[in-house]
Amino acid sequence: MNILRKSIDGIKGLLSGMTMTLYYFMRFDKVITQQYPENRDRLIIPPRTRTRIALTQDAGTGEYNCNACGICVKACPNGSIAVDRERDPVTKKWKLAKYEYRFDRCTLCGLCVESCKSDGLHMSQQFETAVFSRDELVQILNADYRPPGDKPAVEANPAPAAPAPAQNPVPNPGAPAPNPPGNV
Amino acid sequence: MNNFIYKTDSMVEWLTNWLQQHLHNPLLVEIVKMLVGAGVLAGFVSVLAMVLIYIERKVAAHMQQRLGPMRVGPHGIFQTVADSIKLLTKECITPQDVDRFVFNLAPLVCFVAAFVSLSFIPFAPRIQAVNFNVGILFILGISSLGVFGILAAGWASNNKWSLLGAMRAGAQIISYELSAVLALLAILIFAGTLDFKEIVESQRNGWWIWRAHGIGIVAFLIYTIASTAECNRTPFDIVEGESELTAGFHTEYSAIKFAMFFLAEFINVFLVCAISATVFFGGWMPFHIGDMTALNGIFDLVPPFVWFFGKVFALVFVVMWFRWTFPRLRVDQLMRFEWKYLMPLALINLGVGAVLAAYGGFFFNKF
Repeated sequence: MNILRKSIDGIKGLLSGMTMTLYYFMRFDKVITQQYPENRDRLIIPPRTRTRIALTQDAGTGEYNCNACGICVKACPNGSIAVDRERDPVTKKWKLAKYEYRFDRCTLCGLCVESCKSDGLHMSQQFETAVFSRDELVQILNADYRPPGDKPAVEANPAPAAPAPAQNPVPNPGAPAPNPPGNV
Repeated sequence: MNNFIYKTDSMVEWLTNWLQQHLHNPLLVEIVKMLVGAGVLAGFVSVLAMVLIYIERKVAAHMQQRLGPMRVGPHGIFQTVADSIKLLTKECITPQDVDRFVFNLAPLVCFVAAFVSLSFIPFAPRIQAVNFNVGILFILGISSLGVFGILAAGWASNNKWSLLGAMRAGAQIISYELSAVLALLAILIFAGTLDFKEIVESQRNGWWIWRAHGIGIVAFLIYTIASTAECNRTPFDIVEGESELTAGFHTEYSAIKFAMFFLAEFINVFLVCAISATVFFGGWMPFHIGDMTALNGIFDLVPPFVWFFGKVFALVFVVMWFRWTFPRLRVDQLMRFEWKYLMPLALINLGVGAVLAAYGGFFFNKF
């Protein structure tokens, strides 16, 4: 009676599928869609979201972790990063002068973030990055410059020796924690 | 048990008396009543299609963990109105070298077949547009005319893939009609009549789905499956599967003609669920169990049209539930399922049902 067994298995399979859809139908709290402009103040952005990159600041001193090694420049597949560096006269180490990031070329692949060895880059979770002119997409990410799209109130310029908050201007409960202190 | 005839009976009486006072010709009274019925039905169908499409989108969305229409009106309730306005104002593009007369006629045939069948359903004790003593036979015949519309659309579109879709649709619909009719027949043997009003009346002691115990349940399942296939809905929608042959037989249609096909599909779903509710679940009859008058009294408090629409919408929900749960069947699997499994099962069901009905083997029989 193979046909009978197969029929019963078939019916059990169909019913289990139907129970699952009914479960999701009844559970309104499991809806994944977020209604965007109304929920801006309580956005939940998953931590692995790929967005515009930003330089990570040390939580204690507020200095950038980036040591201008240039690995991200080599890792970027289409040359969206250019690093200008100068030698610090005292410690004889390279110091970051200008970190140019071309957002119009960046594919958000994440290779720069992955390849950075000093924890200097992270995905900033800013997605409201529309601009009116293409020139604004060539961005300077380090201290003296303000990347466009940030709210002016929370500045990317860290106050020296102040505990630097995360660089995300949109308050964001799902943001990745800033780099733990003690990272050079 | 007379107080559950909530108010529709007296409403129809009042209308008839009022008309008779003003127009002294009984034939004219009948004609006016028919026109009123036709007008009410036309209005009902339009509103019903909008409501059903909205429900479909919301049910689909929540079963897929998303929200559905939310912007047009609170929770998107005016979305279908917006869609209707859009469809009404679009341009009707006619491709080159189509058979114009048939191309324009096909959507109308589909729609008329579905709409006419709606007039036979009893919505409440005296709300039934047409009372015909072979109602079910007529409905099953008329709703089969929808196949003509589909085949005509596929042929007249001057498009190989539309023709292919239409051929598949034709084969599918005429095959599944057999099982649907056989499943209904099994219950009609118990009811003893083809008249819709009498079928509902015969369920005064209880609904056929549980009174004709196993036969009722099996017949109901067969009818649900066969009628889902009749309406070209998933899992049987290879015909118009949106990821397969673009849109199947209605690829070349735009604007109001497409709206007619769309409307016809949703009216068909409602029709099939209404027939199922009438034959298996007692139409507008409340849930009575034989002679338990106390329990029956509680159920009588709900007006009959609420019972009817509640049952129909529950069945429509089940049909939508099928659509968003199951994957699509291939056309050969579909045909094989019908001819090798469903139809023999329906025939066996009919045979056993006939024997049971002849010897009175069902609940609350009069033997």
